[in-house]
Amino acid sequence: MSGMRFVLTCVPGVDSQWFFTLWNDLFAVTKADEITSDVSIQVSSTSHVPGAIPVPASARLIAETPTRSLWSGNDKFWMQGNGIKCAASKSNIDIAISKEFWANTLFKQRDFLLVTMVSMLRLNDVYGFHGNGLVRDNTGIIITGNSGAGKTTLTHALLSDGWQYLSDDAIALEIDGPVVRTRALRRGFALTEQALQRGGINPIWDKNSVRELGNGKYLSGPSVATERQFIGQCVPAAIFFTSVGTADATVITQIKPVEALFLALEQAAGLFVDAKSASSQLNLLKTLVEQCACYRIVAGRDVIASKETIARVSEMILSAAKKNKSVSSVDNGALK
Amino acid sequence: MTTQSTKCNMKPKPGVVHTEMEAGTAVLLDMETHRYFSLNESGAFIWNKLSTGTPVADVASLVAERYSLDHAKAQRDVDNLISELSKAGLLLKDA
Repeated sequence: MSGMRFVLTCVPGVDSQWFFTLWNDLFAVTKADEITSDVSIQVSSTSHVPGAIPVPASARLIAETPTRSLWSGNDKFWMQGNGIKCAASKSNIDIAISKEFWANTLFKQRDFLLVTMVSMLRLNDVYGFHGNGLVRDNTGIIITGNSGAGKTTLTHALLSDGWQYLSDDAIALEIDGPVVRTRALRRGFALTEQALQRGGINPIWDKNSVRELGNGKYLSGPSVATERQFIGQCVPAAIFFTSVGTADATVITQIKPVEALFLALEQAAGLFVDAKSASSQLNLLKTLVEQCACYRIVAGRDVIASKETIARVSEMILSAAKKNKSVSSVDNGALK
Repeated sequence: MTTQSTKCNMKPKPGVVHTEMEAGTAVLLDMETHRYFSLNESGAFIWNKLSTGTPVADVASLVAERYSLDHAKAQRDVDNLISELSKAGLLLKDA
C-alpha cells in the first residue's frame, strides 16, 4: 500500500461528486483527471445493474448477511448488496450502482464500500483491522476492541489533548520490512448522540458537516483543528485493547503477546477468507503484537470528565506506549 | 506401553494455520471452525515435528532429548497432546 494511489472514475449518470465525497471520506482518493494510479475505481451506469458484474459459478461464497453477500475466487472478490455490485481485483475495483443504493443509510453505503476496499487491499497483502490509530511525540498507538468498548470515546479524548490521528474504527496493516505499519482507512468520525453532546469537551469534528449515518450514529469529517492533526501512517509502538469500566479512574494493565494476539484476532477483518491469506494475516498480527507493548485498558469516567482528567489519561497512555523504546513510529517525515 | 497414536503418523488437518511466537509458543487457527488455540513451548515443538512429517514414534524421543525427560514420560506427554489436538479436530491420522 506504500504510495498506493486510488483514482475514481464515474460514468455520466452517476452523482460523481457525491460518490467522490463518500469514497474520499473513507479512503482519501484522487479524482480521475489526475495522473496514473495503482488502483482504479470505476463506477458504472445505474441502468444495467441486474446483469452487471456477474459472479462466476466457480466463485466461493464466503460471507452472507441479509443485505450483503461476498464471494472469493481467482484473485478477485465480488460483493453484492442493496443496489450495489462490486468486483475487486488487485488493481481495479468495478462498481455498478442503482437508485436503490442511495436509499440505504449512509452507514450501509460506507459499509458496502469498506468491504470492497478491504477485499482489494487483502489481494495486496494489506489487511483491515477494527481499531483506531493515533500518534503523539513520535509514538504511535492502536486502540482496538469490540464495538461499544469505548474506542471512539477514548480516541476523542486523546485528540482533544493534542494527539495526532490516523483513522476512526478502521485501519490498514501491512508488513514493511521487519515491522508492521498502520495506515489510515477512514477519516470521518462515526459519532454517537452522546458523543455529539460532549462536543464542548472534545471539539474535534466539524459541527457543520454532521450527517446522520443510521444505526444511531452520525458522521462528521474532522474539524479544521483535527484536520491539522491528521497523519497518514505510523509504525505502532503500543496496542491498547479497550473496555468500559465503571470506576472513576482508567486502569492500564500490560499483557503478554500471545494474549494480545488472541484479542487482535477478534478484530482482524476477513480472517477466515482463505487459508493462504489467513496465514499471512496471522503472521502479520503476530509481528504486530511482538513489536508493540500490549495493554488492556479499562476506561474510567476520567476519559470524559474534564480536560484535566483527560490530560492525565493521555499522559498515562503515552508513558505506557513509550516503555517500548524499540519502535520509532514516525520515520523519514513521510507522514501522508 | 505402545499407544494407538504411536502406530500411525499424524498430520495437521488441512485448513489449520499456525504461527510461532518469539517465546517458542504457537497459535493455531482452524479455518473451518473459526477457533483459535495456543500451544506452550513444548506443545509447539511437538506440533512442529508432527506437521513436518516426523513419525509419532520418533517425536517422543526428540521430546525426551530436548527436555531431558525419560522416554516413558515424554511418550505420555506426546500421547496426551495428540489426543487433545485430535479431539479439537486439529490433527488427523496420516494414512
